[in-house]
Amino acid sequence: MPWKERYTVTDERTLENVVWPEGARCAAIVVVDPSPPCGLQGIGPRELETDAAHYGFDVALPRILDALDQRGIRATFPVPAALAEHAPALVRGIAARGHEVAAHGLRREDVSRLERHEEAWRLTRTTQVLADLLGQRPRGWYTLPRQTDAFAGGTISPHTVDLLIEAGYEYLGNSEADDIPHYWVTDPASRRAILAMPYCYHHDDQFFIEFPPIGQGGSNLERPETLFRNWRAEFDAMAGSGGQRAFGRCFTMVVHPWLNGWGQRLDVFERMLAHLRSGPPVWNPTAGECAGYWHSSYPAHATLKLAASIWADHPGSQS
Amino acid sequence: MAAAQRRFQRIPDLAWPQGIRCAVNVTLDYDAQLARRANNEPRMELTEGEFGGRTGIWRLMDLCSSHDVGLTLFVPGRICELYPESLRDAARRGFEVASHMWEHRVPAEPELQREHLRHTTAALEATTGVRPVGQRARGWGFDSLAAEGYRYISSFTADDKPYYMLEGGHTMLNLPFQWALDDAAYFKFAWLRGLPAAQRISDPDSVYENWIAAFRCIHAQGGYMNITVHDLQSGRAARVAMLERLFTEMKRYQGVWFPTCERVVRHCLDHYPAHRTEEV
Repeated sequence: MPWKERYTVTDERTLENVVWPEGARCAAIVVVDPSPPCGLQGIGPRELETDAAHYGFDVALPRILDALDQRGIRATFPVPAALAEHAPALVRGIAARGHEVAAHGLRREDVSRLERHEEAWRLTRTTQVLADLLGQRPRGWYTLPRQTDAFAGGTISPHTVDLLIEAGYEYLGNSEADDIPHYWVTDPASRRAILAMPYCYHHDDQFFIEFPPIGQGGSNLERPETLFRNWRAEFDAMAGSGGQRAFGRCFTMVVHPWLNGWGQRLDVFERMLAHLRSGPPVWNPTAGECAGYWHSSYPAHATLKLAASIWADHPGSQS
Repeated sequence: MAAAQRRFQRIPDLAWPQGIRCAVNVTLDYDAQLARRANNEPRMELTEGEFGGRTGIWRLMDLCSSHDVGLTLFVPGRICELYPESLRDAARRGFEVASHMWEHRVPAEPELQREHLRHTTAALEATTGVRPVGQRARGWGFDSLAAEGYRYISSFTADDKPYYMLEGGHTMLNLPFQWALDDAAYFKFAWLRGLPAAQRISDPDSVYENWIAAFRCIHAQGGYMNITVHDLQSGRAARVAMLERLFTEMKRYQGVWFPTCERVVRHCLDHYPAHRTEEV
């Protein structure tokens, strides 16, 4: 592709006609973010003692896990080290039920302004805490947005992706650059890259339920049906439900138990899980399984099409 | 540049070619990551835009091709250096490539402003083989636009039908858009620099209802419709499916015309030239 530093993370054109395992029309990944609400500093002692935290861990999470079991859906749970240390039994319980536990930072914090050595230390420590708890290293690393962030794409530093590659992570959990897995390139010359999994805030419950957060101004903060219609329309387009043409991509939905345990919202989540199972065959991997499939079926050396940049620096333009 | 006084000439008796009841321009602002980059947004936000240039643009072009919709792409000049293949393909398909700033900003400095417009026009012509005659964005002086050969703009909303704007001896036809028919208003956080907490993401069914309601009124009036989509928002699978449903429904009505913007402009200039319209 015509590569441009600070503009692009992957190649010029997406991959069409993706073939999924099990004869599936599309893939469906469910991400459950079990952290309590927090700000840019992430989870500290105060965030772990809020009503939302207690409700999320004790009441809502068991309901979410039951709902997943009931439909035979497997999910991916991004967990920060702070949560693993605070509630080890809860995190082990998630893994024991067949779901994937991925990393979500030391505290689910904003790392965008950290020095490289500080971020590297936190990354190593997070990996270690999760590996010690689960008996194996996490395969993936998420950096999902918080509800109160100024932007809804999640935060990374200029070093994050490179550090993840260095640490041997198989995938970065969230990138908006495509709706299928894609290679996030840190150095086009050497083709150094990590696989990135698709994320889009249009399919993240926290921007539709109790949003804007209490005390942040605004009204009309409860729109579960809008969320459901977005999920359903995106999934239907990807799976080709109802006879429409199938885009055949990787549908990804994100939910937060502290928001979704309440009856009327849990109902929306359960309806969507039922919908995932109601149509043509769908492949429901964890993010790690999907990444593993991608690495073997669409490896970077065969699919990543990087060409020299044709970018020119013009006076009076951004570089 | 914008200091010069502008006057309007409306076209009160505007009628469409024989057999046409209403004209629908589907316009695509091909921003990809450039709008977010121009606002210095963080890294992860740029990936939202990258979806548009890498994936969304192709779906929207395929959709318009399959429905015989004469798509008009308003393209920042820098796209020629980021996604040139998509622009060459747009030209091959017979779509119109018009201009949309250099890097999604209009510089205030007069000389730099002319420089950006020259760069953009030259880059689009070099990439597609056709010199653009249309432009979308406020802030350009009409003298700069006229000097580069532009005939029309699609940036203002002082009427709901095409109308002329005059400034310093230069005349541009304006094809009015409508904020309610712009996908970004429904599907984009940080829309016009708003914070997420100030915004709500809508869903395809609700937007479909708004847009088809607008179309029914415009069709009944024999008017003009200008739909604005973006590669990064409407290129998402659910939104493409919604547009497919919308086009299919619109085509069930009598006398609906889906030309490029340039074709509408040619009709107006040929049959309702500026000098003959009444000044308002």
